[in-house]
Amino acid sequence: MDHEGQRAEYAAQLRAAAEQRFGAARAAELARTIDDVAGWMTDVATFPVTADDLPAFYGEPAP
Amino acid sequence: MSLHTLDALDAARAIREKVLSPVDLVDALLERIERIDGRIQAWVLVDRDGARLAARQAADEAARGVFRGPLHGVPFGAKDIFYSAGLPTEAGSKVMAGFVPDYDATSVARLKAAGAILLGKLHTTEFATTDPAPTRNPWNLACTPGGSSSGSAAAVAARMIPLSLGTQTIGSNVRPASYCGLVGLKPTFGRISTRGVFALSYTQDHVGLMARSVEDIALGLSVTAGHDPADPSSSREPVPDYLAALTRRRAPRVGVLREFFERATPEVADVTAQSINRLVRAGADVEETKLPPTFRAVAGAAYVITRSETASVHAERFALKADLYRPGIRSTIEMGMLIPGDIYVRALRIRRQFRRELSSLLERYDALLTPTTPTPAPEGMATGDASFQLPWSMSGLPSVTVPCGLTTSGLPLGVQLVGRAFTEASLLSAAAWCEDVLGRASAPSL
Repeated sequence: MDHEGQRAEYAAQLRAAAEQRFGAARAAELARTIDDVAGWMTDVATFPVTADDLPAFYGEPAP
Repeated sequence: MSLHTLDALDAARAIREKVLSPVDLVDALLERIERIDGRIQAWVLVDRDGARLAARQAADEAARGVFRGPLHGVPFGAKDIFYSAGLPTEAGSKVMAGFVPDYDATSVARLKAAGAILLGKLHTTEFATTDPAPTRNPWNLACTPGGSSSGSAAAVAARMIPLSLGTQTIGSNVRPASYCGLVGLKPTFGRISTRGVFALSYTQDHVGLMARSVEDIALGLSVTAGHDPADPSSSREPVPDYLAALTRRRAPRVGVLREFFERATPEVADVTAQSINRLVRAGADVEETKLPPTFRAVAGAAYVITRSETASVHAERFALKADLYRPGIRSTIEMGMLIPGDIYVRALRIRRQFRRELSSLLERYDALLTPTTPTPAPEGMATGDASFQLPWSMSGLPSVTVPCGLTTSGLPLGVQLVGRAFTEASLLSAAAWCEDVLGRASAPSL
């Protein structure tokens, strides 16, 4: 799927989730934000990461 | 010299040499606040009685030759997301109305232990996000001071305090510092404890410092940096003497990131280019360089991470008090609730990759350099564009802004330097060298 197609799919998923969680009226108010977040999710989902790219960041020692 | 114009290091020296009383200094700053803060609105709360009591104690101790630390008797302010024992801490939000913590944030406690006096709490955008504070920019009251650490920047620029604590999750410390003609530091992630600071994004929140000189930033960092067992993200890296490191300042090797100039206004790009020319003439070794490929995914990943984590931070409060949240933070929390877990974790992985690539790039330089902001402080209430800070917040690498000039309309601009993780000593040394060449910002006329 291309970038725009992926973004549209994420936006649709987010709209549906927003309607279910916050109601249709609030989901409509969030329309522009939903489009922004769908774009960010697409940027993240389509960027290649390797198996070695772990998410660790904290340096907390084991208890 | 008027006492309110004293920087932190000068005030500390004068107190130690017994030519300045902490009582006189605190009184001068309280008078300054009384006189001008109606226009600036930097302060949520001024703790007059507490500050005067602390000043009297500091004066008594100084008279006996007892000095708690390098900031003995020097006032500071803290953004109103830092816990302060016995003082309201409301994070700019009705949600937290009436909240009074019973302990100090670690950074506040460390400043107090070094002898500093908390003068009060400074305005923040709501929960350090986008809904603006009432604070105005001392250089032009029509303009924002930036945010979210709005009061922290405005109060130092307006000579109401010499040193303040702010925070940065995306661009909230360095950007307002630059908009207000200050030096501002966002240290390496984990360098200063975030315990007792309202979280916005657990893995991207940084405590920062603002002052009017690199020396004052170094002094503040020397006091606040260091491991805190109560903060799981706090680093065990040793804390060098950052102030002593400034005595070793030398012309740095700098990598200039041209992409940022293309996204700045022509005037910002021009003033920054002129500043670079001055640095080169003074001996800096400057070449152009480029950000690694991961940069194109960094903004998306940063916003995915911060929204997801903000939703987690506020889950319980939001379930009970959603209507008390202002529109910006409310939509941030709601959208964070909807971002899938696999996307969040992938964003964390991109962040680590970006940090690794940046660290590799930085092996060739003492610092990377960009304009600090794409524009000067904008007019109105919105707190401005944080995109020039986002990559360094995202990567957790330290960044510092130093003033580099004024626009034709009289607003301050800065250059931003970025260093390797936990190299604040050499980064501040480079910043001090640049400050020597570029000169310090003048004071706004108020």
